[in-house]
Amino acid sequence: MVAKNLGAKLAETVLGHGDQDRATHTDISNPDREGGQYADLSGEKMKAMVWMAKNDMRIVEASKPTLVDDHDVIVRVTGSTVCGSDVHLMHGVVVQVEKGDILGHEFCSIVDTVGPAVSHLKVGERVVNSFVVSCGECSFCKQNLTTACERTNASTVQEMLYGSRTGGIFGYSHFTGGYAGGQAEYVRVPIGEQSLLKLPGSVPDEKGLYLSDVLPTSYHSVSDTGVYEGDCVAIWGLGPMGLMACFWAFRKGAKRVIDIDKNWRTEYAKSKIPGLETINFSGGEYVKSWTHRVELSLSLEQDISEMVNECIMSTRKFGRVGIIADYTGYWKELLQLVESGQVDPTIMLTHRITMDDIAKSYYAQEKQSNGLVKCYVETRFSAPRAEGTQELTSL
Amino acid sequence: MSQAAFKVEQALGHGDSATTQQDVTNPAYTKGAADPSGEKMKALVWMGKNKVEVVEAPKPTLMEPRDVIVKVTGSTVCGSDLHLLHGAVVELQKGDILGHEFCGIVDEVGTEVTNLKKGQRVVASFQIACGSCYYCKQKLSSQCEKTNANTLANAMYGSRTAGMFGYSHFTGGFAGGQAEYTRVPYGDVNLLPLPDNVPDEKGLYLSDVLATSWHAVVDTGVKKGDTVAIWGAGPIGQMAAEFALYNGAKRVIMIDQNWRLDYMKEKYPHLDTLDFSKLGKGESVTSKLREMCDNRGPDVSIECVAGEYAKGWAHYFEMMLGLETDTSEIINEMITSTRNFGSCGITGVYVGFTNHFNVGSLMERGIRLIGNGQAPVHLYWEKLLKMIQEGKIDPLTMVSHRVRLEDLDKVYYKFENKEDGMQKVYVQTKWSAPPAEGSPSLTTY
Repeated sequence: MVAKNLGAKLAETVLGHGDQDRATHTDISNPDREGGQYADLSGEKMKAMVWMAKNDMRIVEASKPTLVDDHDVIVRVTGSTVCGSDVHLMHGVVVQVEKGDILGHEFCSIVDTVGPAVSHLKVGERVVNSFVVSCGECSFCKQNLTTACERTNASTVQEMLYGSRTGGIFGYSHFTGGYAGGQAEYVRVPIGEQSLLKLPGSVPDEKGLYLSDVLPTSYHSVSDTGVYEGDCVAIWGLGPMGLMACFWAFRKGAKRVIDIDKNWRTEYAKSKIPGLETINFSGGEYVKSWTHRVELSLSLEQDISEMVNECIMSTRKFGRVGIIADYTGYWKELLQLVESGQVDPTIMLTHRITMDDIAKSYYAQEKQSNGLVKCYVETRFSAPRAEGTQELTSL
Repeated sequence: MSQAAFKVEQALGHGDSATTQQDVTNPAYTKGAADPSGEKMKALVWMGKNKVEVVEAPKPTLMEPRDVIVKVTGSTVCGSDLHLLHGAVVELQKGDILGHEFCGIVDEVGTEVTNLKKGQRVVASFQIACGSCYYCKQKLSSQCEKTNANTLANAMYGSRTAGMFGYSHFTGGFAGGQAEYTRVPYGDVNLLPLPDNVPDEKGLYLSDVLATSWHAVVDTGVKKGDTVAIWGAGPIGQMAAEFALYNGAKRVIMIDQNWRLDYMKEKYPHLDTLDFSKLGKGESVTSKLREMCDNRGPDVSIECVAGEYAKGWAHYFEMMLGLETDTSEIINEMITSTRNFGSCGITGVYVGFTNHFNVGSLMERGIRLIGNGQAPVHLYWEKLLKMIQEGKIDPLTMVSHRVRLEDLDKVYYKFENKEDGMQKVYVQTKWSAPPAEGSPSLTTY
């Protein structure tokens, strides 16, 4: 795995970056890279979660980032979290992650400084990011397919592996543009007006944060795969994505939603989503309790490998299977739903921790231990805890 | 392997879901399947891997009340018949009569058939549908739940397709139409009458090719203004190209090699072609398509090739060693070539499992990968018949040869080797009408 990672880095060096037509400076995955030219001149330092090696995640001291491009925004992080997909980075499965890269693609914050080309964001405003970095101008961005943005990711290795690139993603290795992520106290947000959504006063950080990734991605998986009134839906996995996908599936009119997972996650999910059915496959129960084929209209899943085959074989003929992809075209619609209380993202929030515990939360996420579904990571800049949300704990 | 698999099936036993008799692949081998008159007929049968032969077999008889016996006036050979020839589709038995595309004249009808009369000209759908189950009610005839009880298929795929003519016990085991007579179960549902102004040489292809290529286009989702890339310029690819344009595609690019691309260019001068055997060093189908399509790739890709044919050595050996049954090369090529959030359709035949599938490119770039499925002929054939009548499509553009049933075994090998510019054949029998206008004249071997 490590060798493959190094190999990918070498390949990229030999092949060269796709330098053409990038909308922003990519690959500044830590302000202290390349001699510290991207560090804030004040010399201020910050805590940041970095990848040091496979399975070696550490909180280090890094420099506060500085503005690089005219459309950049520097934000002061008030909340972040850990994603199931961050665990893949920890395992070194995502090629092109480098020692010292700051991770995290979900963060809510306060605008700290704005570049000269930024006019719609003001210092002090509360915002949440989109996990994807997009230019807003290319043909994909114009169709709101921002994860396919053509100008924010220069990885040649990704281009060779996949045929063409995705857009850039915060804190997700040089495979996706090498942007420093939000598990930190400050973040440089390229193309700030495109990448940040203002949060109204009525939406606390503990809810708004999840507009960065979980809410739009889970919504997209349901919408894109196609759930219609009366459908029977099967979902593999009850992490935050699966949990929210169950919620959205019912909201789209599914008659039945069945989620497949193991251990305590099935009980947790049933307690949060009324009407949800589950199959707990741990300990051979799955084989015992599933002796007849269930006709399923469509299946959503999020953990690849043999599960894809399981999805395909289980789904009824001419049915639909979705492998969760990334998308953020639904921001405004989803913010409205959060504001009006029609969706409550805190159903997935089980732990509130400080940055000192982020590394531990990676391992808890990986092992599905401590009853952790989704955490909220506070920083020294955070507002007081919103009423009704989890109290601070340590792992 | 193919024959061994059927022995396992026989040991395990079928499920009991079928409502029509299974495994009557040659009237000689099933009690009560042969016509009491003792009349004989010619039929093309599978005799082992890479071996087909025209033999004498008994004329079939009515076995069930909704059966129809059809006197065959025309049939053909499909690219997917070659998979049978190669033994790539499991559960064939020596002596199985092949052929899933045939037209003819109604010869006898079962007691419960009221919508067809002796002497009527008809074409059969390649699939056998019951007409009343969950899928048939939606005209998704290729997924009928009542005509195929095969256990192996059920275990491999999760559930079965409908029964099919001449396509091994894996699909129910029904004697096919590369013969002089064929028994059609549920004939009231699986036969479409042909009007006088549609000659057999055109109507025949409603059995499979026209519906399959049409379905590939609409199911994968070609929209107005799309750029469409099609892998494989055989009959399916050729008709898919026509139908893509009919459905509003701005541009169609055919990917293949040798005379097939010249054939396409001659028939459709406005099509683009990509000869994959003539790529330069460092080029790939993906890089070439990117270049041809605004550095982005086509909107829609359709694969009309099949999983049997490895391009490179790795997959060749993996298939030979039984590590996989299908290669993922063409599918991967499709995925990486298509633009982000574009659609790919798989229409060529794939039977089992494949390795090295580029799931990363699929997932990260939002590629829709659609198994087009065995095409539901009943959903489309009336509409397609009308299009033939109105001159909107002419199936004869793919018919390159007219041959005799007696020569069909030789034709299989010529077709397999892509000799003589053989794109699609029309197989005549002793019952056939003289060649219709525009159809090729007879070639004998």
